[in-house]
Amino acid sequence: MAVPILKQHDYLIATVQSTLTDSDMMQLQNDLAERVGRFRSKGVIIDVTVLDVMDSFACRMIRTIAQVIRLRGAETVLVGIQPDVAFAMVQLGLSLDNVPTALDLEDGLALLEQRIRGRHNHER
Amino acid sequence: MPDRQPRAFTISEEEKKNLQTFWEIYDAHFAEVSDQLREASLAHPELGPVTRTLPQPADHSEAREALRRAVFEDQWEPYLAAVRALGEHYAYAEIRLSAWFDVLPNWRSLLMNLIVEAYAHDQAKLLSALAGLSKFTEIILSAVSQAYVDAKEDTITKQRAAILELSTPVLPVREGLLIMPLIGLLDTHRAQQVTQVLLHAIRDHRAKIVVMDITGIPVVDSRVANHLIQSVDAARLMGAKVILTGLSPEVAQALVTVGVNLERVNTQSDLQSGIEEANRILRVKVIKLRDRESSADYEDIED
Repeated sequence: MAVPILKQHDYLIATVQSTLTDSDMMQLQNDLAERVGRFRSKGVIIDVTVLDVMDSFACRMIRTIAQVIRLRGAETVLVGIQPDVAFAMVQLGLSLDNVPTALDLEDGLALLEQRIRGRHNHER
Repeated sequence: MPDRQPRAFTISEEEKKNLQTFWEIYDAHFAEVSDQLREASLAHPELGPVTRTLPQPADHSEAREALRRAVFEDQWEPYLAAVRALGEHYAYAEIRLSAWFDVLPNWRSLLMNLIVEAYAHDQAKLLSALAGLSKFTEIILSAVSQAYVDAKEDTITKQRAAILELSTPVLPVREGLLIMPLIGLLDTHRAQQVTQVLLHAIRDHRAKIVVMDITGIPVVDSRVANHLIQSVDAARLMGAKVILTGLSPEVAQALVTVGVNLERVNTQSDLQSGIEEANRILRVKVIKLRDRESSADYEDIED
């Protein structure tokens, strides 16, 4: 099932609705890369609250998506990783490298805002 | 009790016959023997109080019937269940197992006298009955001891779980800040449990920062350090930062010597510095009031 992407002012919010197949992931990457440009978005939130598994492919895709979004000039924040998922990920040695994470959508939006502001201040 | 199956035991035909010869005597004097056993128990300093709480059967027909079926029909289970219940009862009443051995000789010598008296002129039967007594004692003791030990082990298992539960407290300090003091040994099982508790606490309290204090962990080797790093990484996945405090000079030097990389972890010397660091990240400032300032001033500052 494809992931719906909502536009919220300067941000895009992709809320994962069910377990993702590999092709869903590829599609998400394509859709986000395209829409970040189309809507001139400054940030992307990927919400994985419903996921109860994050495998190595999913982690790699999230890292890739974050890099792609970065090249398209926006920031990515991953939100909603559940305690058991986080636990399983560190047990399996899976890493998201430098993709920022937040507890939920609310914290994610705050973090995104902070990072984008920080980036602008830095450039000034 | 955990579902430990009692060990099945086998009785040879000869032993069965011995038990039956013994039973003839025991059966004939059952009430007398039981009463004396009870009296000896009542007189015993440890067993006495517990024995008084046990109901005294009006007649011994039930126990007798159970025993008869054990000896003649190989149906030991109902009788042994009762014996095991007694063993568990002693364990929970914190009576030493040796108390049993204090009253047992009494019971055994009484029976022995009765056997010798009855079979004084029949050596074959005498030997058979004595062997039966010995086998019977063996069966009963094994059942009681095993039940006693099982009950004690059960208590230990429960206490171990309780210690695990109690030894990973999570303390909310202020909005977004938790303190997690770790105490005791951090083995793999415990470390996983700590991580689980940490992650659920982050979600439940919506924590941004967790100060994890390891002053109370006596030994921190590379394995423990890796467990801690895993916890830190897992917390980060949920959008929370972990500040590690309480690394003693010895621990810090040991970790560097064995080459553990703690660069990704925010460490502070003690809990106080950890909280100060958390305040800095959370952009909270704690201001000391001067003595003469009234509570009205305090409210101003709060606003």
